[in-house]
Amino acid sequence: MKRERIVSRTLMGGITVSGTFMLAGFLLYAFQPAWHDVPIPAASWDLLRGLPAASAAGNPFLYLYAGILLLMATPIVRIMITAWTFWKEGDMRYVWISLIVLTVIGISIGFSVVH
Amino acid sequence: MSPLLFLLVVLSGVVTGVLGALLGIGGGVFLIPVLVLGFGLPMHEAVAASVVTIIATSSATASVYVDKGISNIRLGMSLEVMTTIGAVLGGLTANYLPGDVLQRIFAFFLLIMGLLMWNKTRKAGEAQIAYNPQARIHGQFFDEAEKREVHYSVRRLPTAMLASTVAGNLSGLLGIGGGLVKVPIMNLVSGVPIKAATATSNFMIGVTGVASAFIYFSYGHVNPLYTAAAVLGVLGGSRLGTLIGTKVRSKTIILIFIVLIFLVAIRMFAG
Repeated sequence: MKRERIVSRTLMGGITVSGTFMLAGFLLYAFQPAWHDVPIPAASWDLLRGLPAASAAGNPFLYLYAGILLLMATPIVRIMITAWTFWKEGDMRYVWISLIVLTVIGISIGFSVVH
Repeated sequence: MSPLLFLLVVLSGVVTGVLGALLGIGGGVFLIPVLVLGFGLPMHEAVAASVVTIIATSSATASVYVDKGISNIRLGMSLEVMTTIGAVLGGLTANYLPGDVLQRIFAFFLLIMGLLMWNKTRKAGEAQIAYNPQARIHGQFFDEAEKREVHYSVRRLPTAMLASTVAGNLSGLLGIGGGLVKVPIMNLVSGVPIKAATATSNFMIGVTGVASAFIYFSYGHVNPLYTAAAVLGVLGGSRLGTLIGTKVRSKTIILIFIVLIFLVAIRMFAG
């Protein structure tokens, strides 16, 4: 499949999945009034550890955060796929350029995990 | 968050998406003032929400442009090296600044943007497009409006990359897409046709946004309710904007928007 088509479908797929999680989060929030008075948990990677149990409990905030993080992951996956298509074409210059961009984003993620 | 508040935030997102599609600008310029002045959201949370919505709009619009072959992926990847570095630095800087200082910097940027938009309405200018087979990066796309194949070469890439660092920094610092800087850079510096420059900018701003989004996430500034509501609204608004874009006179909207920008800038500067 052409690179452009793969990248395009990756982007749309990411939006669809992340949007679904966000909608699910809002529906859970709307139909569970008990959560309306619960303070919004601050964004933190620790939230992900509680995902399995929280999803069973219908915690709307975790679904919202999951949707947001999936959305943030979409461009990253896009770069990985772009790098892979460049590698398949033998265009190593742009494989390296893609890896540099991923490294910069990786530094950003690393900072957020450590901070 | 009450259902009414949720709907109002979604509506703000829709308007943001429509304006972005009609005017070719990112959502932060409209969304951040609305979230701060209208909903009382702290500036850092408004910027974080805007950064995430930019990722959403970029992914949505870029998927179309990439599929049509208008976005120049090689150029976009090259410039992304510098925009992501700028965005990370911008995000780190923003989180060390107090909210009111960040708000005033944003207000100043709005003034500059208003002046640039006003200047653009008075004179239309586009760089000379040329094709050089020796250039490292080329591009081609079918212009549906002009019904012809457009070929171009990218020149002065190092200069464009340097300038892209500034665009990335503004994006990370103020929660804007940076297209207002990136598109002129690609067109006037690198000789990329405006349509390809806009499409490539759309392709890039999502990655630029991600670079700083994780910084805001780590500082706890991503409010899930406001952010997700704005994202859902912007996604719908972008689609609506592309549908009504051909039926509305852009120049009228631009002039109204310029006046609004100046008024909002003054209001945000006042704190």
